[in-house]
Amino acid sequence: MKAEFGRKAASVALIVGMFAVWEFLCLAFNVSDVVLPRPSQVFVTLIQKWPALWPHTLQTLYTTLVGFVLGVALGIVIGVIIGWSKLAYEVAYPLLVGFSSIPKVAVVPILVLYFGSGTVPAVITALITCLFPVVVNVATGLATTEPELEDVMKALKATKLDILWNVGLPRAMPYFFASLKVAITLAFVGSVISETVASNRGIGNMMMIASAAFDVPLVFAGLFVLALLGVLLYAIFSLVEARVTGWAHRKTEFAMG
Amino acid sequence: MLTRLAALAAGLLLTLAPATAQEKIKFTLDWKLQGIHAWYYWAAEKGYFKAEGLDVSIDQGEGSAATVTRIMGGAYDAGFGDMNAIIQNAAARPADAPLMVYMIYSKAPFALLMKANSPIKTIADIGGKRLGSPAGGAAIKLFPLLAKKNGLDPTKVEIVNMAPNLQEQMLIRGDVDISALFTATSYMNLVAIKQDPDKDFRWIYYSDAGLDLYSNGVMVSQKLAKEKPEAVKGLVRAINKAMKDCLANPDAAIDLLAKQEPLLNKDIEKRRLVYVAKTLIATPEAAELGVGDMKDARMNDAIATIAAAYELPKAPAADAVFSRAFLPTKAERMLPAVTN
Repeated sequence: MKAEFGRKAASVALIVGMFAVWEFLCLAFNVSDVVLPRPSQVFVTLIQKWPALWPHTLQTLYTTLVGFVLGVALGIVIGVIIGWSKLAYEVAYPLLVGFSSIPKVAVVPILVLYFGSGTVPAVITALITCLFPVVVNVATGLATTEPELEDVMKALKATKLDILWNVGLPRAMPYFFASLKVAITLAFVGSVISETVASNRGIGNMMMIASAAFDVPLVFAGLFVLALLGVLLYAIFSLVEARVTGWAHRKTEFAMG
Repeated sequence: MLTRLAALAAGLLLTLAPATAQEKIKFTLDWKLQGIHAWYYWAAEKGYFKAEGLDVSIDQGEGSAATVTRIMGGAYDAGFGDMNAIIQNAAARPADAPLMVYMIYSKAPFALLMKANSPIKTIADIGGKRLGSPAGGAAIKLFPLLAKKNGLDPTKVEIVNMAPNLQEQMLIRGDVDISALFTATSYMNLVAIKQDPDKDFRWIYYSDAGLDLYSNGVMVSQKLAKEKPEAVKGLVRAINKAMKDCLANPDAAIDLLAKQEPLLNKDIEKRRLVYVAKTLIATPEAAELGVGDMKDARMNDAIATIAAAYELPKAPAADAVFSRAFLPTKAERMLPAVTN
């Protein structure tokens, strides 16, 4: 318990220290706020402009979460199919790797041609960015089920579906929940990428407008909001993971990491 | 019985209130929200679109050439974008390219920028000097033609490539002698890095040096122009009216835009609006013809220039890329004086 508190304190100290060094260097070298604003300026901007930032934050959160939920649902389906069937794995994997290698920023203008700019391209971009880690982890989890367990199930006259349900899926759970932490941060990246290209609202859009007006502190305020939301969602899914698959970890205190 | 009643009610509503049957138009801007987009939001807020029986939804854009592809893809009916991109697309896909119906920037924003104390005064002086530009940018793509028109061998110029946001800094540092750029963007960039763009620098506009192109305006899909000509006329009329209001009172225009997006920097956006209005919109040609129209001879030259610069398989006809059929009368299109 004491060790855990110490680690947390050190983590907070590192963050505060980073801001302090940043602030100090900007002051010491008299860096213009067009190049790099001081963290204190960014925080002041963040607080002053919060009422105007809030609708953008909500929009980004909304597209991220919708894209994430859809992406995870689709990721589970695809992951189960290719993890369970060797044939599907070999046939579909090259295509999946190909899809995941496409820079998502290149996809957005194409999505805009179909759906117009706004919420839909952001949701789809979030979906496709967070899909791949879920697919890979679920498929890996299923593929690495111990053969002994399967043999026992087979000896008990279990069907393939029984084995999947009773052995494969529970065994894949730690992999799946680990992938959620990665997926949620990637979904964020996807949403924001789409917003910077084509949107009327959202943190990404706000940052483009602010940078066109050289309001660099406001651009940084947008980055701070994204970082905060990212940490928050990561923490939530870490907790969920610790709750649901704590049995699979040797020590629960690793769950946050 | 119920459906019949409903149909009857609907019919009654249609005959009684034709104004409620609004034509839906999806409109795309050329870039993220800026001061120069004030009049579209003005037309929406002040009910000008509604008065024309239009329900216009405005989306922000990703580049003035992308407006053309967005309309060609069918997701948008109309937008604010680049004439020269229409010409390029009309050469390859004449059936899909949008139609320009209201020319707003009657002068292209391409220019060469140098320091005010530079020995370079004309394009002929550039021989042997270093010219900076982003690779593939429109300004550098057109430079060889500009050079030839001014009796300069373009191969004698050393081209240095860089990211667009570094163009001004590299010029100031002396890494390049000249920069080929977009005036509307660079002018405000110079203001932001605390330079005086008028006193510290010299601008050579391509249009003043013999390469006379048109630029951004309001374009519509061919489908909309063909099937709903009245809607296009209404759209142009509403935008024309709103633009005159905004130019006569930029402060009110920026205030209205700031309601749309409270995070806009009002000072910068107003300065951008006034600069673009003075240099690209309220041109001598706009004073002569009224804003929105263009000169056929100049347009044909511009098409020939684009066809040569981009090595198009064939040059499209002027009436395939621009139509003045939807313009309001010339008296309605005379701009007010642009105030600060």
